Amino acid sequence: MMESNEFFYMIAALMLFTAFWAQVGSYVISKIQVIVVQTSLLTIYTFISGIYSLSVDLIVLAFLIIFLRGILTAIILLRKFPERRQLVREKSTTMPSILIISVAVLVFTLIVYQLVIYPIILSLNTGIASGVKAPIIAIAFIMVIQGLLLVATRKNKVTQLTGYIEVENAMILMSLGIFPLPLVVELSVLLDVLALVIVASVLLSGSMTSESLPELIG
Amino acid sequence: MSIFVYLIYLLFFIPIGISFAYFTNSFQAISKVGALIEVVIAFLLMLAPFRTYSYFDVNQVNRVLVISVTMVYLMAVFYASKYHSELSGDTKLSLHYSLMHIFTFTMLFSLLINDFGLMWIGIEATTASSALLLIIERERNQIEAAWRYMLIVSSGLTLAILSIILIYMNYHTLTVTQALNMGHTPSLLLSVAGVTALVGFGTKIGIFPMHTWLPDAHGEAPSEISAMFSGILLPVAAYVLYRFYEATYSVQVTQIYIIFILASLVFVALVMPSQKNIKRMFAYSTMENMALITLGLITGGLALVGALLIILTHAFAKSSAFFSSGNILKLYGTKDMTKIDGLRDRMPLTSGTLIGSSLMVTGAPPFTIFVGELLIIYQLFVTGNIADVVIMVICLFIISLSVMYKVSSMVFNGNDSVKHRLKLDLTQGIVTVTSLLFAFSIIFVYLGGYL
Repeated sequence: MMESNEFFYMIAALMLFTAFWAQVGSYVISKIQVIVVQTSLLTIYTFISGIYSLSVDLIVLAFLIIFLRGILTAIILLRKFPERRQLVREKSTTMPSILIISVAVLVFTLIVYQLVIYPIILSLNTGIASGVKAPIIAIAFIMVIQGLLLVATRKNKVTQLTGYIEVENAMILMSLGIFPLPLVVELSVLLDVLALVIVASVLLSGSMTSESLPELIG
Repeated sequence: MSIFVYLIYLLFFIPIGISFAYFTNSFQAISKVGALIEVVIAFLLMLAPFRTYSYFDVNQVNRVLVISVTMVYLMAVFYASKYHSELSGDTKLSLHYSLMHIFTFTMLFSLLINDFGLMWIGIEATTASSALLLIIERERNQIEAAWRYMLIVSSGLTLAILSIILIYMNYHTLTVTQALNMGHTPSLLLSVAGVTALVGFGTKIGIFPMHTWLPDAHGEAPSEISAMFSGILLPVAAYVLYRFYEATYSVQVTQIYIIFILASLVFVALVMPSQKNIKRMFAYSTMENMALITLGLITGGLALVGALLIILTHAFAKSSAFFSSGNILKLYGTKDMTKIDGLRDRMPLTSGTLIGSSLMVTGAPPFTIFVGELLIIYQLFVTGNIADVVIMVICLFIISLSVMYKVSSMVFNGNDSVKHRLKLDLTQGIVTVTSLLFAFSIIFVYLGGYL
């Protein structure tokens, strides 16, 4: 069991790396690559969890994650790009400052986790806590904050959307690390996110950059 | 199976069904008839005793909301037909109508479904179905506002999934009534669930500091959509938050909720005096009303009745305020209140509805929002929250004064130079007045003992 936990931790750690990849990549195409790789890792995590716990729900969920989020979302977003999509870059993005902010937020997140969330996990009675994987919660928590950081600090709409999808991936990871939700709920969440991505793709038809307009101030 | 189950399914089926009117030329007529039938069904559902029906739940709070959702929806459908008359025959308008129907379905689903997970999904679906309603005119501001709305609300709501996970972990069920019947001992786990629900759904309700999308979306949306957002969407989200609160409450959670609610009131009191855009002003007023509704719901007792009064009155009065703003925007071509004057003589009907609706939404006596506020204040006094009452009253006073000053300036200033009246479309005028009359009639609902 210990070895299987280590495997899960390794997958989750790789997901965390993709979260930083999303922060530092200045080409917008790399954000879509992040979504695909991160979602693929989440699929592997969910599938192996399903195999270990003999849960058909989790195995089905794994396939749905890769299909709805990994493949369909990427296709929808790629269609919004011009021909020479490899050359589209984010404006006003300086790598060193992003790295510094990202690492500072990481440290802050870990402190909050250690001071606030970890004591909560320890306070759970043994019955409830038996299936809880504390390191997975920590990683998912960091991913949530990194995703929100992308949404809040970037002007490029694709990057902001990547942040949102990263938060959604983190919540699924957190659910798997705490207490998996019923399949109908997980499936509906996936479909909802897909619907939002479709709506987002319509809104992306205009400018790719979020603007500060005088009418929207005050 | 009870007849009420069929009624609930019918309530869902009609908006979904008429959304396919997109493919016909008579989509407006079909939409109006469908919305009217929806109101009739909602009133029939008032006869349903409070209990669960298959996957659904009818209770004291959500049946009131079902009525307000269907009625505001009906008025919005009628209003849109004239407000967007220049788009007549355009597929953009038929798509707009179809999305309005789906949007209404998602709200009704969120209200009646008896499952925490599916409630969340319903609320998230309201975002997906309503974001495109903002961009019917495809203006730059509207697209930007819709983008912010979608991104901020969805990101915020995602955090509420943690609340669902923790509730499921604690109760081993997501069925709302089942979890609530089990009762709970306050615990750290449930407190975290309660707070994450506040952050998540609070984003949708417009609780400070997660409210940033709200003035943008309300300010840029077409007026009938602003009315639907403000009058019914936000109260639906407040109801969902209330159900999560019921499953997670503790003294600490209640205190945190009250802190956020009071912060929202203080924030609105600070920004309201500087507002220049009429629709943004009413959007901030919605933040105030939502804070009061949430406060009433979580305080319970008489405050719950107060919250129901505010929900019902606010749905119609705020709709009337946004319809009035739409009438003004249509004829003056601006939302800037410093450029709007002479309303009394130029648009006598709209100036009347604007003043009436503003008095109501700001809680002026003797209207029902004032009664609702009194009930909430009374309950807070009884429970010993005197400091909260003081902060609340000061904020409400500042907000009311600011709104009424700005509205009075538009109505009563500059009438001397008015040479002719501006011609308002009859349907728009009727919908605006009807909405105000509905708001006024809520007092009889209260006196009749229906709340």
